[in-house]
Amino acid sequence: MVLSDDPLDSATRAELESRLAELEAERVALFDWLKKLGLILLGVTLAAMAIVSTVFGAEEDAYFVGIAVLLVALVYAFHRISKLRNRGKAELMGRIAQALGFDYRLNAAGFPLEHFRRLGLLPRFDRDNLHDHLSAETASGERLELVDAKLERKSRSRKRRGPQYRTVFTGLLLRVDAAETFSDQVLVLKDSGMVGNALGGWLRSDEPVHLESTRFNETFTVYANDQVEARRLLTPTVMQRCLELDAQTAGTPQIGFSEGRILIALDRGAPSFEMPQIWQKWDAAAFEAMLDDLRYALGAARLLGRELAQPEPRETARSGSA
Amino acid sequence: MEWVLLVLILLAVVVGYGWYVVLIRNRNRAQEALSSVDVHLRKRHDLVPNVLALARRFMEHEKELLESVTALRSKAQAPYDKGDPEQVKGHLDAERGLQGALRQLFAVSESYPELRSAETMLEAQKTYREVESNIAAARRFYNSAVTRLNTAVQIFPGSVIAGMAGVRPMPFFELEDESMRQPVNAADHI
Repeated sequence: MVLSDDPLDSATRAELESRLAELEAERVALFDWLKKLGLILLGVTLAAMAIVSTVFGAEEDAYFVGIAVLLVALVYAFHRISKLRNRGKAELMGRIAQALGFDYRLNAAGFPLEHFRRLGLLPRFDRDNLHDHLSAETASGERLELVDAKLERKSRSRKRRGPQYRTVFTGLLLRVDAAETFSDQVLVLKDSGMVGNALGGWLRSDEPVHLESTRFNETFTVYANDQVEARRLLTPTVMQRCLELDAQTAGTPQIGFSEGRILIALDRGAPSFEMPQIWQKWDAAAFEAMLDDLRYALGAARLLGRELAQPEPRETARSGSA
Repeated sequence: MEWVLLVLILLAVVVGYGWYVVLIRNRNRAQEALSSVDVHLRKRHDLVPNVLALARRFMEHEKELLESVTALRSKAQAPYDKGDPEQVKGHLDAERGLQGALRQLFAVSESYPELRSAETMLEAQKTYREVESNIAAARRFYNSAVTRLNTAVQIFPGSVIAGMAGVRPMPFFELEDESMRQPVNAADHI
């Protein structure tokens, strides 16, 4: 299934819009409440600081009290905002996913990253944060899984104590359990230039594959342990689609065919399926953005000829027609 | 002066040897690619007797076509020397001929409803498509290897070194006929 310009039926769209209106009311209420709370806290904090400073004569302690109250208030506000945004996202994404034939869960812990890591499809990382797990069956009965991932690498700083974490990947990870078995391993990785490829390829057991398209070879480096298998999988059409996907993606897409699975890592530079910020209006644009992210993800699956199976007719539609 | 001459000679020897290594490596690569093409072509050859046995039962009026497929298969299966570009070209031409005849056979079989719907024929067509897809991939590998070899052979001083080492350019494995290269007009198929 390819997502058309409007893949949601009118009933689903109406349901989403109604739920979004409720969420928007909650957002406005929370935002107003947080603003009021902020003003009250500011007043109370200034008063407390004045008392501590004048009555007890401890000016430094007064600043400490102010900062502590401010931090507690910020943590509390952040907690409330993220709780509402996550709930909104889970509800909207869950409904969109159901309408399009996906299973959805907000928490994606347990998604196997090891295979991606082993194939070198991801940058080196020490900490992962996975969410928005979507799974579905393709038209040919293969299982497709998709998660939104944020990967971080540990780094040390002279200025600050303890380990720091730097984001090295924010994007989507796709995994398809392919019906056909790949006898060999084929990797489509970002091209690292002549020197980078030579150094990177030095210790590899597989060998580089030079394909016919100069543009493709400038963008990607292909490694395989069977030259024929690589060309069977990377037909001119697939190569063209890889370039199209690259044009839509912040980082170069990394693709692996290995052990009967197709793995795709798409560094988008920003999280997907997100609700708008608390200060932005939550209208239909919120789920349109989620749909755009899904269109993009399914476009990546289509790259390799994987289409979703048509979703089952909805319960309500069935009972309505009966 | 003598030193300069010596360095130049040494440089020429190093470059010459380097080029020789590249030539031999590319030739071996092209021959390896040719072997992999042959592996997949053999699968095509193995398919032919089954298709012919089935076709003979239904396509009594296509005797000439069936005989030509048999003859082309025999020709394509004939042994050849992978190191001799002329023989390689002859072998690849024979394969192209067999591919064309098989395509024609499958196209003609469409006019025989009983044959078209026979389960064995459907199975054979499916296998044929898979085999052709693998042959196409192997052909791309071979042509890529041949491009590298021919470039190394034809660029000076490769032409001189190749002549001394007995390395010759190899033929490409072209598509079956010119019509397959033409752009498809969608209007013809709508």
